[in-house]
Amino acid sequence: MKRGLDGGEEACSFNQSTNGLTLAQNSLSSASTPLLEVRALSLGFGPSRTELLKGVRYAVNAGQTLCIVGESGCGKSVSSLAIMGLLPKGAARITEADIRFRGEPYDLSDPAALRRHRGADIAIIFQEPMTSLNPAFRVGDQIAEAVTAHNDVSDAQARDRAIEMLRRVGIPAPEARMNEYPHQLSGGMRQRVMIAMALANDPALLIADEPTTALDVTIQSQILDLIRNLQAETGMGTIMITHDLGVVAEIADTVAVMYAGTIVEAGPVERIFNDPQHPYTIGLMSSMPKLTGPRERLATVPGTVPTTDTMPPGCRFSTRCPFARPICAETPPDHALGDGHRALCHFAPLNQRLERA
Amino acid sequence: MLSFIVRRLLIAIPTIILISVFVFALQKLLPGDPVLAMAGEERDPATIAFLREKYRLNDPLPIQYFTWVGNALTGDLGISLRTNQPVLELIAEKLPVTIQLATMAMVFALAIGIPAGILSAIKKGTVADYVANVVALSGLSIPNFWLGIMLILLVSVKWQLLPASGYVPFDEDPLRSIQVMIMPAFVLGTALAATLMRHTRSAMLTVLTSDYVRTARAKGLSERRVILKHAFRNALTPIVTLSALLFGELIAGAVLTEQIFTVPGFGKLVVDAVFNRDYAVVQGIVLVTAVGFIAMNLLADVAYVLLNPRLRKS
Ligand SMILES: Nc1ncnc2c1ncn2[C@@H]1O[C@H](COP(=O)(O)OP(=O)(O)O)[C@@H](O)[C@H]1O
Ligand SMILES: [Mg+2]
Repeated sequence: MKRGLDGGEEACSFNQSTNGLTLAQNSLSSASTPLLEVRALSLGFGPSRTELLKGVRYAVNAGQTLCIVGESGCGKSVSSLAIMGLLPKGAARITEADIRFRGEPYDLSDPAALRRHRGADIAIIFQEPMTSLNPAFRVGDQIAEAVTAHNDVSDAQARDRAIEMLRRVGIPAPEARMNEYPHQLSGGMRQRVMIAMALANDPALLIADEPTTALDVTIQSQILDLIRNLQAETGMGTIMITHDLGVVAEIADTVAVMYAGTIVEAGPVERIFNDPQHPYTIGLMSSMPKLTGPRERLATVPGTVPTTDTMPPGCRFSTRCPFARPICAETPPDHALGDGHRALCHFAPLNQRLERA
Repeated sequence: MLSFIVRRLLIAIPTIILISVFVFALQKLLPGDPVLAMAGEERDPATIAFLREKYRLNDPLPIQYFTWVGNALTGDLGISLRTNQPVLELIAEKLPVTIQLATMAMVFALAIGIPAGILSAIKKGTVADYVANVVALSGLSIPNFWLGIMLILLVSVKWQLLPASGYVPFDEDPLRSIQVMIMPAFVLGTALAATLMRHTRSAMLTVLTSDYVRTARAKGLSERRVILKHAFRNALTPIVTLSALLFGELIAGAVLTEQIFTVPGFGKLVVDAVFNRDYAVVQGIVLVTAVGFIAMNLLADVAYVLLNPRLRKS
């Protein structure tokens, strides 16, 4: 119904397309149905009663890039693998999963449905290009297989698509490269092949889990540029997992900051960089010299991340937080700060509440 | 690839020379004089001298060795001291029987061991995995002679389903030939099936946690395809290598099984020759077996390279 209303308005206000109101409404309506909306995701491993991921919450819009940042081990990979249904079978206990994809419920407990999404409209690339391709098969066949898995096409058509994809990811002489084995390619080339494979079915969403971490610095920016260009071409939404704040500043539309299995702060990239409201984000930002300066790894906030065994009750950051108060032993509220900016802290917005506390 | 095989064959040559020297030396060091055994009760010096001359046992050892090797190279492995038949003929007669037995045992082991290994790897930690492992352990620990006798008592005597012993040449009546050899092949193959199952399981477990299997799943492939194509193809290399190596051991292991089921194969030839101090036959058998082992090793290496794209090109 909403869509019909908007459509009607668009049609009759066609000659007023510069009208600020119409534009704002359109962007609002598309913002109200994100491509992927993780409303709550909690899961635990093994016998530990504390959940590794607790109420993880983020959203990404079509055509936009969400960057998930956070120290190593905070659960970035686990959360994306969980969404793809790629966690080792039986390893994880998913205790809470409220996820929408294109506005529809997205059921993590339905393996067949997850499989239909995987590689078709949601694709993922991994951190380790050296080991992510099967050493026993030619790269062309591995890409073509992604095509035939979801489309009723002939082998020749799948092959043509594979060649086309290799060309699009900037691999020279794709017809010849098709027949090579992974070990004949460099790390950067292999990551390009992974990207070609992931995008072979024109996914609506690409999850890139630290796609450049394992690569040479010179190759890193090439791969990032490639992903950005392909995103501009296809209009797909992208979740980029990284711990490189320089990358975040360059490519993010929105940012979700993850700490010990929770999203402690999320919002538009400018808000996160210019007006961080969670003490952890503030620590991260102060550890980064400049937006344009040399890229720095995270983890300069003093102290160590609690494990599921040492997790404090309430706010998970309280053991390292300079502003921690007794109330932090209670679960912090998810404060909405406007424009989709949220912070999971008793004292957000900091400048107003900390003084009172 | 061809150059690899040639290189590999060249390496095999010194091995074979070493084995031939060893076999020859062992022969000379063993107690018991075959000529005395052949000369009979009277031990007539003339007969003994004649026999020594006939088998050239008076020549210096190196000459004896080179004569033996030279003859062996032309296919002349000597004459059985007992039956006066050419050794090569004896071996050529018995070897196919044993090869058929070992092949059937291998087919059985592969057909049981690999699927069971894959299954228990996928179902790791479940009852199915547990049962498969217990069965495999039993398969490894049950002695062949006991299993053979039990099978004969049950299948042949009680149920009268299969013959307890005997042999029908394959080219005479293939169906009957296979039928008669089912039980010995089963007995011979059980331990191998268990070994293969355990190796398949562990190879699959390693491969299933690999990044490329995760990638295969990320493409949205069916679980069946992920396991049978992406995972199994990589677990296959150690399995094939192992199978080729174990095939040689099967032939050695066939000796006992052939005795239980009175299969007239290589095993019977070996036992008879050893008991009768029929040195020429023993020598011939050891030599043929050793060469067979080396050939299976070579096959294992070639298979390893063929299955590995990384090694194939260079
Ligand atoms: N299969 C698993 N079983 C138990 N713990 C796991 C498993 N996979 C990941 N973990 C744990 O989850 C935590 C988060 O890991 P991960 O998501 O990979 O971190 P990162 O943010 O660096 O991507 C780590 O402490 C890791 O030990
Ligand atoms: Mg990770």
